[in-house]
Amino acid sequence: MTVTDVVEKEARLTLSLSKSSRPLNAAERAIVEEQISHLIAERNALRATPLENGDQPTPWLDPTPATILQEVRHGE
Amino acid sequence: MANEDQLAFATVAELGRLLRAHDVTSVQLTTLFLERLERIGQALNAVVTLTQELAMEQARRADEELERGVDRGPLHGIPYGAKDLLATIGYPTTWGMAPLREQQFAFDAAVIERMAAARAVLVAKLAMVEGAGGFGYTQPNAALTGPGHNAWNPEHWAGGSSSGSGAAVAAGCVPMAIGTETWGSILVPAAYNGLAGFRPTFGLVSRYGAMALSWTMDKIGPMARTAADCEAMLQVLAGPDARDAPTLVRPKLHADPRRNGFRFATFVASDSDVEPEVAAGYHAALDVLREIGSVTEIELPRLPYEAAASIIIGAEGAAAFEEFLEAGTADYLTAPEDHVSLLAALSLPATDYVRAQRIRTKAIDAMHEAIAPFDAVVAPAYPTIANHIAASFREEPESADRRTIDGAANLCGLPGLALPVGFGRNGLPVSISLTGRVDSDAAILAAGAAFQSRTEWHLATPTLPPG
Repeated sequence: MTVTDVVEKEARLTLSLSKSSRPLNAAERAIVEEQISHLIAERNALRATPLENGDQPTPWLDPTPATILQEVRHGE
Repeated sequence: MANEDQLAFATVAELGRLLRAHDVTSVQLTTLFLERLERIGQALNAVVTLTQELAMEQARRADEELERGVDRGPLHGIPYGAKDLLATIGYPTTWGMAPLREQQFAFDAAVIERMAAARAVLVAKLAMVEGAGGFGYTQPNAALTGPGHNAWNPEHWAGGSSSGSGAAVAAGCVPMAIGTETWGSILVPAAYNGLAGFRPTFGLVSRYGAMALSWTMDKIGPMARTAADCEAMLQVLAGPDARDAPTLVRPKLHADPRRNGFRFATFVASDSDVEPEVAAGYHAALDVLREIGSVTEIELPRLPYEAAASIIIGAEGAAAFEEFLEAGTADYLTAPEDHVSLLAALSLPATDYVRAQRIRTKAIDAMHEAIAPFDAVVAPAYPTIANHIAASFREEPESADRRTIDGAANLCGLPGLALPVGFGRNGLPVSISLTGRVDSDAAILAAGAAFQSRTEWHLATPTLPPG
């Protein structure tokens, strides 16, 4: 984890704990901390795949390959 | 008339023939399966609620119609179980969660409606991992009903999150069941219990009335003894529904009549890092698949499928259960880790979620290009046989679900079928999966049926503990 990641983790931990209905004990806090580390590592894995400005998110609720969509729409 | 065991372990197709020959009635089948659910299913922690009153009413109606010559199709009069996240009028729908044990809905889920219209008989709401596993469970004891026991060896887990659907079909407590999958929740319990389990193309089956964990990844699908039975169920379950928008863009499902001439792909290193019996079963299955088609090795595009899927499910799951978490209701869930794990996703940046969805677009197109020439990609369904009922998933060196094609397939909305291909240590089943391109559902099921016409693994039945 980079220094930036550590700072981000602390900030996210504070935000997550603020959403809890009660104070967490040490073991519970460790679980949340571990999950946040995991999510940051996964985001960093995503960053290894370059994206262009024009790369769009999947159309919400419709992860159909563009090629299939073109065929379906062309067929109509 | 066939004896109890013959009926309990018969396929949907066989039971349909017996019903139409008047060798058995739907009321008799319903009575039999209700009794087995109570005696065996409960012992396996596979049952949340028996729906006796509704079942007997539906069975009597099915019998009356058959007497009058009205036949609604292959599921007419056949009992089934539904994962307990599908809303059902008049019965609790617990989502597997202890604090929701009294939850009821005033409407039926779309798939419950469709099964009723086909005159299938709902006999039970089946057990599941709480919240379909979205709360971050790390061991099998994460359900309102306790850990789901495997029908082949109750010392081992039934898999999740459709645990009860898997165990109940395998134990002959129902001939078919409905499961749901966001990431592995149909294929893993099907594989662990030696069943055919089918994950449809995203959007093929309406999720109206189903618990939402991840709106862009949740799917509903059939679990049964054979691929042919799954196909019969899918013909009933699939179809457009204005109450679930993604169903409106899927083409109509047509059966694939082929019995050979399939084009299979394997991917490089698909059998690495799996248990020896899993690798042996996979290679034995490839030999059979070569009898009904060609097998070509390909390379799958290298992309962070699992990371993208994990962030999407985390963000959508946290959004779906935000009020539940903030109210402290998660404190009453069964697994201690489920009380707090999902809090972590409440602080997930929106930019991370959007990045994951942008990567997903690339993944969908790259996977489509790689697998479009083939009917199915073949792989071990899971790297391990069913784990011990008391084992923590943390004991595994690397999360096993990161070592299958499942993460990529679920991220990209691809259909998949689990099929039994043998047995490993402790008498536990070993399975393969067939994963196809979007809308190749019928082709995969036809390939599965052709495979099972040449194998007998799906005919094996477990020795069950006394109920």
